[in-house]
Amino acid sequence: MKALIVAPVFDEATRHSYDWSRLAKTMLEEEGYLVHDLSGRGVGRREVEEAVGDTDIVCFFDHGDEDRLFGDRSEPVLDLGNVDLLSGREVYTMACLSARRLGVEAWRRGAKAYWGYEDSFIFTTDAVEEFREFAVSGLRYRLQGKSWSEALELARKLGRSLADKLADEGKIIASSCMHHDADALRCYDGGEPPARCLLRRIALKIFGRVGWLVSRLRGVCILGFGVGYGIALHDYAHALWQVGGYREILSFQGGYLGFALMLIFFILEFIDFLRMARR
Amino acid sequence: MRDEEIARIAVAAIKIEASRKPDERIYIGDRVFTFLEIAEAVDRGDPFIVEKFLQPFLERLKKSEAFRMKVLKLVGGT
Repeated sequence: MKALIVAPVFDEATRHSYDWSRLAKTMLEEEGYLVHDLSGRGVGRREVEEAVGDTDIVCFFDHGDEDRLFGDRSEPVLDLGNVDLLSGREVYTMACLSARRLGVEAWRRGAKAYWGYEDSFIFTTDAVEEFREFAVSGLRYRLQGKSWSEALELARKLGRSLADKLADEGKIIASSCMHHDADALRCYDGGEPPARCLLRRIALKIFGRVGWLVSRLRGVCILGFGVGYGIALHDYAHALWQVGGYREILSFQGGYLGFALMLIFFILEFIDFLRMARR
Repeated sequence: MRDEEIARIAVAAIKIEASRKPDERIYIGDRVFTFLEIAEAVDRGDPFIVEKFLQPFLERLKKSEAFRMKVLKLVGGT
């Protein structure tokens, strides 16, 4: 079993996340993983792309954004441009925000699981130990044999219990941050990620999981086709009505055959797309 | 408890903790603040701090009675 840990260091926050990644590394090694470690410095995109190779699990401890994970102050090492590399792997991150888009996209492209946060990961120096425990908890549970869904529930529970403990100790700022982190935690491992776009939600409702594969352009095309078809049909019917009223509309017209053919072939093309998508 | 009252308690509690541990730090993504800076930012309504820190704090204060009691204890209320 192989694992990749990416834990760049280039600012104050990343010194802490690097420290936490050491615990993750130890945990993985104790479970018999061969760990490729890209840590303790700025990390380049190419070296991450090369290192992902045939790893089973990719761990990332550092800054992130909705659609990227950073290897230094500016260079993303993983983003929507190379997210395909995560296909077939389990991905564990403690980066801010990446569960919003990168995680969803990784899941769509076949990542076995994506662990991350939908909002900023916040921590305080008066409770570093507790935040470290929380940050690696999901990986710990997974290595103990829990499923990712079970690990998510356990990690959230741990986060909330740590938040209560911190509040008991009078560390209310840390407590609030811990609670926030537990709420922001997400794991996509077969469960549906939340769809933000209304059209996507409609597509998911109609087509199930395949709805994730309907691209934005395809969605616009379907919508455009529907509107154009409606306008053309309405105008054609109106022209017939002017010629002979409703009787003319209700009688057989060659134009109707054209409309029927357009509709049939549009549906057939879409069924073909769905078949391919399911495969 | 009204929203204004909850906000007043939250700000007071944050200021008290910040005055006790002014140099402790909070990391919000790639930004870092001391507790003292956080208290000042909350006081002046800094939009970033309000969104990322104060709002979640207020939400928890509203929803969790246990947390509210602990915060009230800190600010000296009952």
